[in-house]
Amino acid sequence: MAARLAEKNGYNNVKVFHAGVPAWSQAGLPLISTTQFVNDRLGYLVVLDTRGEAAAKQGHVQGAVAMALDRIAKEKEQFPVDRKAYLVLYSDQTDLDKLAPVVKQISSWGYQRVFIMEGGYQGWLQANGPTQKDLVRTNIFYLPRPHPGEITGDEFMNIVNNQPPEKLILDVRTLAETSAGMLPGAVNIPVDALPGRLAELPKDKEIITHCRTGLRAEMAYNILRNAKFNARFLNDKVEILENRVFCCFK
Amino acid sequence: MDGLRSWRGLALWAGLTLLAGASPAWAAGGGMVSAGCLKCHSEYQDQANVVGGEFQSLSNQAKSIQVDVGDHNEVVKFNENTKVENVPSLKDLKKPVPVMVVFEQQGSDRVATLVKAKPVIKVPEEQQLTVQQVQELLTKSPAQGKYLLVDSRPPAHYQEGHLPGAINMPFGNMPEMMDKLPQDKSTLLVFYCGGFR
Repeated sequence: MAARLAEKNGYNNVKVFHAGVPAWSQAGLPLISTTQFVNDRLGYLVVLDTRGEAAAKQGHVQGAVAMALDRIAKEKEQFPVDRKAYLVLYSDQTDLDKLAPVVKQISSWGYQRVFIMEGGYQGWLQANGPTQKDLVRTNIFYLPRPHPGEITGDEFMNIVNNQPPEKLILDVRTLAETSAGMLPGAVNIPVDALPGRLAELPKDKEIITHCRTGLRAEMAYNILRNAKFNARFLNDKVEILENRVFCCFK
Repeated sequence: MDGLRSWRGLALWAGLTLLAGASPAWAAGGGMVSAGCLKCHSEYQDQANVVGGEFQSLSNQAKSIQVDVGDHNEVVKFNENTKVENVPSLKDLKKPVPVMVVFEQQGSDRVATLVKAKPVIKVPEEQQLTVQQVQELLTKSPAQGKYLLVDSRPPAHYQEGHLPGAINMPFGNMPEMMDKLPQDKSTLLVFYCGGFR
């Protein structure tokens, strides 16, 4: 344990913040993201430029939404439905004192991943992060980062509708669920039976798994992937009621 | 840890079944224990019946648990005989938590005999700081307050979000990073990580 190791090295004033990051963030207190984290995830997080539109026009983090601090409280409706969405705020510098109250406010709406970008816009420039000048966004748009192996709903429906011979839709729901109907052309192997029934599946086709929520489809994808099949999965909800298909929604 | 010996016994058993039958497909993949786990738990290296990494998801419908072992995910089934340690039950597993899964090969299925969440280490009360105490500490700069916050989590977690002013010293890398700590041994060091589970 880290504290013991420090004591062994002669440190005589060692404490432990035992409740750690979850308690800190639940209290609405600010956590700092590195510019590298923001850069790696760009496109799959909401970046809020709190310096306002005029400053953002001079240059902003690529894809950032210009939203001055005093505007944020009024724009609650615009924030993503997904409370686990990644939200990163920045100002000119880290500007902790300025941004911390807003982090607290956004956290109080139920958002669990609200961060302040380390070093602010100046830090971003120093780290050579991608920037834009014009085309300032003023509306929030959030896209979750796809999991490895995830197929988009559009591509999935395309395959369902056209049934290309080199693709196979694998429904991994239970027999009780599939009795209400299956997608046209799909093959059913419940995920719990999949390891024992791999021999039934083709190696020369791409297998696309789906279930009702995406959870079991991802497990099936991983079982297939680890067994060297060519596979992807649908991380969306699919409802099939009396042979009517409702697909695909998050 | 006492449990290790019996796990080794299981590993040997699983190894023998591997020799007896054809190698299952999953054995061909990468390791089943993440590099992060192996830093401290090197005994899990190349174990045929241990999956170790970050808990990902659990499906009651499929009676399966999914674990991120670094470069891919592993899926293991569970049943009513699966032992659970350090959380009341499997449904209490909440991300982020590292888990270790010991399993048996039953036909084509891998069935967990033990799912062990990373335990929370006991710290004497007088050595613990509360959220309020840390908040108070942060009203001063590290230099003014003669303190240093140290984040013991893996770099990816630190990068996503850390306490203001904290440095990152992942526990597994601590020995070679000791020079990052202040020269003055009376400096208040405050360690934190992913906290209670």
